[in-house]
Amino acid sequence: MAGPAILIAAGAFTLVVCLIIGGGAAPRVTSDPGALVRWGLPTAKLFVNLSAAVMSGSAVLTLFALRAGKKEYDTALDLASAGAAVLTVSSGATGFLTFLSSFNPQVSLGAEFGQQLGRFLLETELGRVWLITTVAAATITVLAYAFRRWGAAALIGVFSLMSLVPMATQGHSGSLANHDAAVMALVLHIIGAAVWLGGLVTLVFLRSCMQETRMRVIVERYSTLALVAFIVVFVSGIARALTSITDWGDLISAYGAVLALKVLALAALGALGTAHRRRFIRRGVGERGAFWAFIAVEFAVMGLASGAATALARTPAPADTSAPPLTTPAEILTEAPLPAELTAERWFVSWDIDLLWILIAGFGIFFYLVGVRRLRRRGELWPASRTLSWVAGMLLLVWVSSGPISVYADYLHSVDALSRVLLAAVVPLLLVLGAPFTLAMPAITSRTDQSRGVREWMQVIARARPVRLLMHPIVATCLFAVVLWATSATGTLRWTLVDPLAHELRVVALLVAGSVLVHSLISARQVRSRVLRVIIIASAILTPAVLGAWVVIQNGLIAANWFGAMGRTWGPDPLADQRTAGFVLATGAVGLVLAALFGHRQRTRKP
Amino acid sequence: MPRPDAQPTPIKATPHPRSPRGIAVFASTLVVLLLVGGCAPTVELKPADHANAPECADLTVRLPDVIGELPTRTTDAQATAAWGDPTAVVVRCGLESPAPTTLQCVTIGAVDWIIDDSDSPNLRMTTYGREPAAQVYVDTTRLSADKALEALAPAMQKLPKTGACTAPDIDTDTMSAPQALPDETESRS
Repeated sequence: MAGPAILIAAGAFTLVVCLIIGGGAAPRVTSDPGALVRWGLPTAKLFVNLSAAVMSGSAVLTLFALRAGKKEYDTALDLASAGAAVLTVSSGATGFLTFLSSFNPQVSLGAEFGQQLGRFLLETELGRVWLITTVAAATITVLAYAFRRWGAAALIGVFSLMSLVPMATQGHSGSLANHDAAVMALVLHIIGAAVWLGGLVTLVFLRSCMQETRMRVIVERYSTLALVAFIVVFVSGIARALTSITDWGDLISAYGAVLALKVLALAALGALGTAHRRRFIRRGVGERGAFWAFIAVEFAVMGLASGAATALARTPAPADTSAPPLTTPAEILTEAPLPAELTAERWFVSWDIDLLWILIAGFGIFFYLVGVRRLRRRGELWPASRTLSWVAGMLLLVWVSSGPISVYADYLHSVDALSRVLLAAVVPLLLVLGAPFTLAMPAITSRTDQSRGVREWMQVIARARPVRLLMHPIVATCLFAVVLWATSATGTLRWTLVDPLAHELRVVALLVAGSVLVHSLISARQVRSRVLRVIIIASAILTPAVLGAWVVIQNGLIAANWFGAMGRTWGPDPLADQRTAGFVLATGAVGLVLAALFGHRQRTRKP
Repeated sequence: MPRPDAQPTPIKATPHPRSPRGIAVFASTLVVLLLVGGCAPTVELKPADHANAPECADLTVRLPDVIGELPTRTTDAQATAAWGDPTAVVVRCGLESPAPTTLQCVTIGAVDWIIDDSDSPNLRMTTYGREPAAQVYVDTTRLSADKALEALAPAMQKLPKTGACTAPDIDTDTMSAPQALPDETESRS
């Protein structure tokens, strides 16, 4: 149990040092809440960070590395439950201390104090965040304690990662110019750090109940997870820091010092991880003592990073203080100024980075190419057209989510419609033609120890009943129609424009609905009747066409108080732009025609 | 309905999704969507001639979410807004500034309004001395007109001022005076 102790000690020590350097716990000039709150709040927050990491890290490691029904599996889920229990208490405490810190009320047991606290928890954004986190953590505590099947474990894993999101959305203070990007970077940063740190803690707890040979297998699997998590943490950390500083001079400050400490800790961890992998896992040199000494050092550095992270969140960032107030209509609606007129060259020079899809595309391309290389080495054939299609699909996804379309989609309905069409019909077509499932099955080494890796999870999901039902062409066509209609013609459209998380949800929904439809069009094996197949294909192709035509003939303005309230003086007026959007939506039919043609060619080739 | 050529499913272990279930899923999805989307339909309005003026955007983004007890509604025209179900307050921005008139003129929250009570108990109020102009239509049986104008004043002040009433009935200090809008005191009872 030395590991976690080192972790907590290093974390607490760094927290205190960094709070003193950065001034995060300095007494306030007005309405000072007292030393207990000033020091208690960051401490509670440190425990929130560490326990959330243990909760989600152990759940993810269970899903990726452990055997169901064995002691290791139960121990890891017990740990997830314990982590969630600590998170319940510490996030509750953080919520309470945040209330004391921001409203400075008279603490008493009276009814008035209770009412104030209730209002804070239910009506302010900050209060709701901690309320949701506490409730979610309590739910996970019970779930992880009571249910031990694979399905339940998967649910716990997903749920524990999702419960980290509300915390991340409140991690910034004030108004940043690049609000959405900062939030997304922080969500990814927290999730990556949690999986990384929590997985390591789980390893230490598993050590006692396992033989060394088995331990080595699990450490190797964790090492893969940790490498992915490290990249996510590193990239998102840099992106987050870039949104908080405006020029290099900002770095010479207390904030810059704490930030530098974090970067150093991260670099050290990366080096340690690599050395660890080289020395102990690859070669299989195993002096037990050295191995665990290494992990102890990693814990110390991770504690250092966590403590610095907590202190950094409490340290005023240099750029935050100079953020201008929101005045123009575009700033009030989107928290970003209205971009310059969309001219031809802006299609090549406008960028608005969405880290989530860049990381997904990066990993997607990397692992795909690794898989192809593995097949080639074995002498198996893999068509270059598939590789090309997959890479093109992923690059298009990045361009849609981070390029000029992303910059102008908030202001021009036609550009937003273009992004919907590309995400629903073109990107899925390219990705499905890349045949990732067909590649993954032979390329990923299958597990023989009853644990589940990526390959096993893909198989389980593909065989699951709801997924098979979803893949049925009729259901797929209906799902596609509903998703496209909901995101284009209802109040949902405005919600996905306002809320950055809803926006990501929309991207996922469009990609999933599009991929399922394209897949069922290309391999419509489930439908034997020729007439039915023609009807399905025709209705799938007609969906975007009809929707587009409906948008074109509208006299009313869709999302009028969004697209019509940007104060835009360039470009066509919103109603004319909406007509263009209708035509753009209708072009989605082209992608589906192509999919149907590919399907037809496949059927005629091998009947 | 079993079709004549329907065969008994040979392998029980691999259930095959058939169309009736698909239809059931589609139907239930549709019902859910109708329930979600059908609670407060979009208010259909006609945009004013200069609705695309950027000043109207300045106004639109500052309109309140709630007037009195009435929540805001979605509208389908640029630079318009509506509150209450059924609609009790409507705002349209981007009209031609009205010419001097003999109609009653009041000042509420530093905004001058021309009151047109020809459609009583509904009041049509148009900003005076603002370019572009905005119009507020209030059903005074459901909400007092001065309450509505008070709530709208911060947004209306964003319209650039080009003139003022020559003899306003009241000024900002007494904006809640009941005698300001005589028609409305009658209908309030």
